[in-house]
Amino acid sequence: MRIGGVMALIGGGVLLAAMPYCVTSSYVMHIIILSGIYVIFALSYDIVVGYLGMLSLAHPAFYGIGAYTSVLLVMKLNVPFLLAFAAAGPMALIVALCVGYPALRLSYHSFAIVTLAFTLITKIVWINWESLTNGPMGIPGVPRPKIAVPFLGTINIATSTGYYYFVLVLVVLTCLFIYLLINSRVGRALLSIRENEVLAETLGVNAFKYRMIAFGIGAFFAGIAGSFTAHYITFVGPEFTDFYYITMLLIMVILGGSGTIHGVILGAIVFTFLPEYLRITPEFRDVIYGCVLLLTVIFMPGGIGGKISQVLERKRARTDGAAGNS
Amino acid sequence: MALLETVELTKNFFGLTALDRVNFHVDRGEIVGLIGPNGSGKTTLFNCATGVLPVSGGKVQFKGEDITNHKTHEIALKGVSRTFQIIRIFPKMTVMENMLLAIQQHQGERIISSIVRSPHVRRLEQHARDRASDLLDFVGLTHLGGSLAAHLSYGQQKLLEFIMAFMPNPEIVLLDEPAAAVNPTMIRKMMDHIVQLNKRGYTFCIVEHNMDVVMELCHRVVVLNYGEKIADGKPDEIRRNHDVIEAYFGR
Repeated sequence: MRIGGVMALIGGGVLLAAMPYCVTSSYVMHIIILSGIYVIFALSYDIVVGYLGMLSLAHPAFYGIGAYTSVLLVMKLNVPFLLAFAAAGPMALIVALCVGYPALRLSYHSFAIVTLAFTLITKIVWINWESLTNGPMGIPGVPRPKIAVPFLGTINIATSTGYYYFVLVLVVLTCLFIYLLINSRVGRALLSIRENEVLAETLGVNAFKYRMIAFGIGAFFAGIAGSFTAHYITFVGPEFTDFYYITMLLIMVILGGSGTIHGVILGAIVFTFLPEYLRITPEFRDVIYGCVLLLTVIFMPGGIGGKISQVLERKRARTDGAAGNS
Repeated sequence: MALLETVELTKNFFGLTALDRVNFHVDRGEIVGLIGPNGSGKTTLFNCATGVLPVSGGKVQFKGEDITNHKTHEIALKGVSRTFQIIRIFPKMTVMENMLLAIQQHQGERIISSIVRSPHVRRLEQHARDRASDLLDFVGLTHLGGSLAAHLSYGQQKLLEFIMAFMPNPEIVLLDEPAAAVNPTMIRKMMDHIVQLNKRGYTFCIVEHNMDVVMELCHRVVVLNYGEKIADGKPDEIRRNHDVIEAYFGR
């Protein structure tokens, strides 16, 4: 089993590294890069919704804040790309802490409403602060990433292959961090708050503080996803903070399997590809998509990830049982 | 100086007085029983003392320090452990994870080093595991360390909740009905555990309806009725106390 896991990891790594050489269609490559972005975005959302158990509707705001932060730094202040990109996450985190400080003291439903209001207000700011954000037109012509590496010169990321490897590195780092977070004492404390807040507090867990941490980390990665998107599509506009993203994220997280890393990754990939794939039948696209969502909810209430865990567990139980009988 | 003390503690729920100027104290090393008819304010007193409910009037003191209306987690970290009338554990976590959660915050917060698993945090975690193993062994749950808490029987869950309270090496343990809804064998077991842990130096305050348990275990018994303290004394005195008999059986 151990060896199998390692083999799967190596195989998966080789497959991911060789992807740009296997995929010839630039359109498919674009969808793959997009799904990479959404993996980061959905994982960051799952920290708040899945692990913390709070329905935050502020995520598109952090996505937009990350995007505008790095774009404005690069275009208005001529900050090098890497520095601007590195500022996107922390900026979203700081704003999240300011919003979370009052909002995370509220009950579940009030928290949802306050974060919804925050998303709407943020979008209004993008539209109306014309001197800074160029208003509803957005900012076109965002420069592509230029990464200065000491001794090696500058790496210009302009091709889809370049973007692919860039987003792959980001996805791997995000997954690694979230894996470490969830399996640490901090992750354990977060789960305890979700399961039973009174008991968690009785055991010495400062629920408010851990909510702030999780909310901030979620915003941090959403900011990174937003910033990458802006530099990838070379545009940033108010639609980065569109409420549409909430629907998309909820589908990915819940149908993928909230509270599981592999489930959310799968959910993000499947629900990026599926709508694109369904373009082959423009008439039935929405009908089929709707049916898939319905069937998933009915037959996999724990999401794709939950189903996989369930199947694996049953298989393990069966082999254990067989070993016990012999 | 009393270990845990309430001074004129009052709690109102929308005009209903659940606790009426209660003076109550537990000294170090004692097992104090807190009894009274249903709705007399026993659990409310626990909730006020641990910051789960805000206090309406009076004071709660721990080791001479005013802890009135402090946050629940702050009071927990000072050394006050408790259990609940209706079992509270984390059913989706393993028994061992439940135990580890009960001590980790007492070992210090350390957000970043926890995430990157610094050697120091790993040592703390190992220490926590060792302590958890010892305590699980003490109550006979060692073999269930890896099971989900949800898969335990009611009695086992009760034992788990009980022993979790001792993970952080608390100064006082507030037990809310440790003998409720468990079979006589388990009650016997629970009583033995309490006596042994008391001999090791742990202080207890126990809310319990089972009079046999209270009379046998407790050094001192406090009786509440309609939020008022009506008696405080040795088990024998309480048994003969006219007010107590009246409160329980009527005039």
